[in-house]
Amino acid sequence: MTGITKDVLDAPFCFRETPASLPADLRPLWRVSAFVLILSFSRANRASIRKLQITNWAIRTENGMRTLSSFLKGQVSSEEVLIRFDPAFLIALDLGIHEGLFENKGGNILELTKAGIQFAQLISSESDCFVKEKEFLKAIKPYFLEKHIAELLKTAFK
Amino acid sequence: MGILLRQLDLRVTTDSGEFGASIPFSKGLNVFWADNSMGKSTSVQGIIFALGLERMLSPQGVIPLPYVMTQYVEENGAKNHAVLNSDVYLELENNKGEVITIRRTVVGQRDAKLVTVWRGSVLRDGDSSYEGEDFFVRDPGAASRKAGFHRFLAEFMGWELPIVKRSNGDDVLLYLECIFPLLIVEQKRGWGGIQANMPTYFGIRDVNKRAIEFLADLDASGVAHLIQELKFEEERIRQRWVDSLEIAGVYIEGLGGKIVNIPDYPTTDWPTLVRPTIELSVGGKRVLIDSYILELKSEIEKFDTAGIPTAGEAAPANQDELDQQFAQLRSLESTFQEVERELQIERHLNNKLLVRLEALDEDIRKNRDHLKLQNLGSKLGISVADKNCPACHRKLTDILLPDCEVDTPMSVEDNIKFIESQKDAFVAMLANSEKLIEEKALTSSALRRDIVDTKSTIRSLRATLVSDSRVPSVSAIRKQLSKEQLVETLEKANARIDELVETFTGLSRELSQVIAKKNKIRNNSGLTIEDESKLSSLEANYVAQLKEYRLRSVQPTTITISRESYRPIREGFNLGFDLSASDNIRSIWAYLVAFLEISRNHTTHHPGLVIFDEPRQQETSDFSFTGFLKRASNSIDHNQQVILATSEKFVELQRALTGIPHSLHKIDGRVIKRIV
Repeated sequence: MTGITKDVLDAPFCFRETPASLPADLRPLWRVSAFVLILSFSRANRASIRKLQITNWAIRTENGMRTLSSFLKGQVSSEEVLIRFDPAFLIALDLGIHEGLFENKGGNILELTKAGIQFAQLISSESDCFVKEKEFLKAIKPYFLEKHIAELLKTAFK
Repeated sequence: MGILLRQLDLRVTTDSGEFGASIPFSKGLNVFWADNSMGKSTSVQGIIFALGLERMLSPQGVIPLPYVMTQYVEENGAKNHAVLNSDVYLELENNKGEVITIRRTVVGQRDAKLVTVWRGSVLRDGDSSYEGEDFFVRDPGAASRKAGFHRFLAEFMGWELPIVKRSNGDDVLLYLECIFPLLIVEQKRGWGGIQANMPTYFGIRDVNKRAIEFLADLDASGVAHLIQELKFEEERIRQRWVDSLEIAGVYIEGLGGKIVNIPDYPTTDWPTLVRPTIELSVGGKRVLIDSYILELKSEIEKFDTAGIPTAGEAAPANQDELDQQFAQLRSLESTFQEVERELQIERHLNNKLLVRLEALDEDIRKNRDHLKLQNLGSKLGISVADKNCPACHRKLTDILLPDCEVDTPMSVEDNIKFIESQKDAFVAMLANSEKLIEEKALTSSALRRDIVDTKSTIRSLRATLVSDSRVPSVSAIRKQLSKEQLVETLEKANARIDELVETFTGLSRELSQVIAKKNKIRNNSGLTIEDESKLSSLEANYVAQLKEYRLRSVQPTTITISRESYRPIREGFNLGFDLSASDNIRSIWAYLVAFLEISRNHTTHHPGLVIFDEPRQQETSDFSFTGFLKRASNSIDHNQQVILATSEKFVELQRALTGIPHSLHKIDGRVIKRIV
């Protein structure tokens, strides 16, 4: 070892952990809030876990939202909606339930609690928070039926 | 400038006879007393309705009167008498001594949008010999048109309503509904804060400020309007500048050139030392238009003096040139292909940059949402929002993935900064790429033109080589003609630039004037010496009252009147949040009375009238109005009027009124009674 190489390597050094950039939808609060919002846009503030799973997939990206609404409106086939298993989904679900924002009513039906409804109202009243997501949920609300869920999951896990 | 209320009459005709109330007012302090929920507020609402100001209370202008004026009258505890017809009458006097009586129907055959005015005292003197005149309220034009009641009322009060700007840039009159929240405090929402009843749906810019400026007759109001005007003027100049540049730019681009040394946006520094000119792309090289014209002209001249050679004379030279032209064509074509390929790659990169930027924007948006969620979540005590696990109450790693390489994610704030710095880099790259594309496109179109030129030169050279050797050389003539044509076109383009320079000279001069005007305004901060003296009187008066009323939430001496918003501030923040409910009432009372009192020593537009409807008891249990009465009673010495409707314990009220000039109107039982 000579010259510069030696100078560089022959010096004390340490490893320092640098915080990493992270997509916001991988943060617990974002995802739990998104679940609350999804449920609040469902009939009677309740939805099946399967519906939540599908909407969870869609709401994370603009492309996902676009694809799901096109499918629900019958513009693309279920083959084009590639729903992936998302390991973050179950963690976020657990967090939300422990937080007391929604609860499992049995039969895999989730429903917003009083606190959840309150949180949903707070989010809804903020005009510049979750703008695209709210628009998306509002737009798909009348189209999203049980038969769509079955069709999507059949394709996804066949 | 001024107005006094003389009498309010409420009249209700039911299926079982006439009901009503007459409330007389005099100069100075008027206390109107009735027990709780006996109709005390009906009187204040009646005044608001008679003056056509109900849109102060709701945008739809719902009739602000209770059921007793609209549905049924209770007598002996039963809702037994249906209302058939009801009217509000109000008698007013202005400072010239002119008296008018207003009648407005609440329920009945007559349209509630009509207001009848008699020019005389119908209520107090009972004189009915005057002829009534109808005006309209609430429809568009009520403040501006001759038959509009608010125009009439403003004139009667000696007001000339100022013109203000709406947020869309339109001019409108400052409506009476916007001024009266500084004169009337209504019970339901009026105590929410200073100017709490201000209607915002008219879309008037800075309406709170405009109203205060008008009422206190601050010169700043004219200044504010001027500033708006200047802003619009500046925008107009900018638009014309950009448009002219764009039109000229498109024309010059058609010639394969671009304008250089020209600012994209208006500047006062015009004409610049370096004159704008056109840069052309000739044979892949950049040349300035003037030197190119000179070059072309000297070539043309050389040719003219030499005369046109015959085909035979030109043949040897033509053969050489043909070879040269072929070589040039090949090289031009390969350069062209290369440039086109580069252009394609650059466009592709540009697209990718755009996609990437969109994704970054989306990322920023989501992270900002996250920040807001943290705020909202913390308010509700959601532990995830504070990065705590709701199940085990330990610190939560801020990431949803199990077993991932990221141990410590950035904080959301840092993450936003991080993405923004990335975005900055991409924006710079995008700008660079766009510049490259523009240049390459220019080169490409110049090359294409050169190729076409070379090809036709080749054609004419060939034609010359095979033609009769005695005729004039075709290629020489063609070359000469095309050069002459080009010079003509380029000179036209130069003339275009001259025109542009001229236009910009005009615009630049206009801009200088606008900026000079703006600077002049800015230098005296919009407030004249007189304005400043009014505002400091207002401040001193307001703070003195707060001390007198024993404001407790904050130290009164720390409060000032903002020279920006003209509202009370403390340490730069609006007063309001710091105040307890009862101190808030003290502050509103003091602020409105301060305007009344400063109008005694300053010229203002204050009509010398303030009306308070005491807030509902449960909202201010620890509060008593009696402390204020002494101060308000001074109004009698200045021909002013303060009206307070209250349900204060009567014994206490009487004690407070002892020894101070006032008129008390006490009503036992319900305000609206059967008229016998």
